[in-house]
Amino acid sequence: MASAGSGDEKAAAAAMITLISSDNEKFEVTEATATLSQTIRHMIEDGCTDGGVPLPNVTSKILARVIEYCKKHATAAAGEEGSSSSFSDAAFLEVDRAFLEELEEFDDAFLEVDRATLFDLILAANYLDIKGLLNLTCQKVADSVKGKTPEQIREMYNIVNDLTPEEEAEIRRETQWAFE
Amino acid sequence: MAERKRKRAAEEWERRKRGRRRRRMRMEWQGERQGLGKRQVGWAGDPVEALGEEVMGRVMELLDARSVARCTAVSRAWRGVAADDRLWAPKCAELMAGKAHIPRLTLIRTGSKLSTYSMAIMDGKRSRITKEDLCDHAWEYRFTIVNWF
Repeated sequence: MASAGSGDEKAAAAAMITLISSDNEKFEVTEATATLSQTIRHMIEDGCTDGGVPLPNVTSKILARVIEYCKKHATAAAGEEGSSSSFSDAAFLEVDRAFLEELEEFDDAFLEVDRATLFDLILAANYLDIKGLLNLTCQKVADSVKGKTPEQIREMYNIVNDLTPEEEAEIRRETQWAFE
Repeated sequence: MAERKRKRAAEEWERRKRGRRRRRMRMEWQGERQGLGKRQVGWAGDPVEALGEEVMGRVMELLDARSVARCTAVSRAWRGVAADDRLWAPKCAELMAGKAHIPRLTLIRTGSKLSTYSMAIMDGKRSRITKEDLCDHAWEYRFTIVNWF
């Protein structure tokens, strides 16, 4: 299966796509990297990527980070597909494990950003439709809320409580089980 | 063969991801205790405002029912996202899957999915059986002749 498609894959890997950020900076990436974004994949399929792909919603600072993620994970995908059969099964697992470990460390380090950047990354991942990146970043926000009380959440994100005392009492009554 | 290997790698990946999440949460918790958690750089505004309701809905899909229920009491905007039927319908389905007793109040279709879920949870906490419980079920009796001698 892998050998049949390898010729095409090589050709695809060589093709370059230019991405243009909102502040007009140009980024050259391989098609394999760019197509982690479903949005860009569809544009490529429709043949409208000549002259570069303008991304008016993404700044160069965020786009650089997104590309960094895509490059790493595109190599990951290629590594998985292209693993040759000259390895023994045990060696395979060894390679896989080392690779997964590296990818995991990469993701952890990738998430070491301030909240503003995290939110921008989420919006970019959503707009570009990059499933892995969207999940990774959304999970970090979810983890920040998990198990917290409404007061803790408000404090953490500087949220003003605009519910009337009656509304809040009603909500608390309905969801009483979540506070026990 | 390659299929199997990929599957195994995927399983391994999931397993590690879970472990990693636990580790990360532990680290964040420790950070918070030392007063580090609150000192994030950058803008720390409301994620519902920053991300929009749709994306915030995705974030909440990643949370457990209890955490989402708590989110409904944060503010109006949070309630809008966290009380959405689209979030609670699958949680209700999961809760009721394979259960012999479905509380009759939850069968009323007018309520929101969140209130259905809440009723089911509260119903599960009571320890007394009511007349309605007994009447709601189609009890099946089978008579067998026991020969004692």
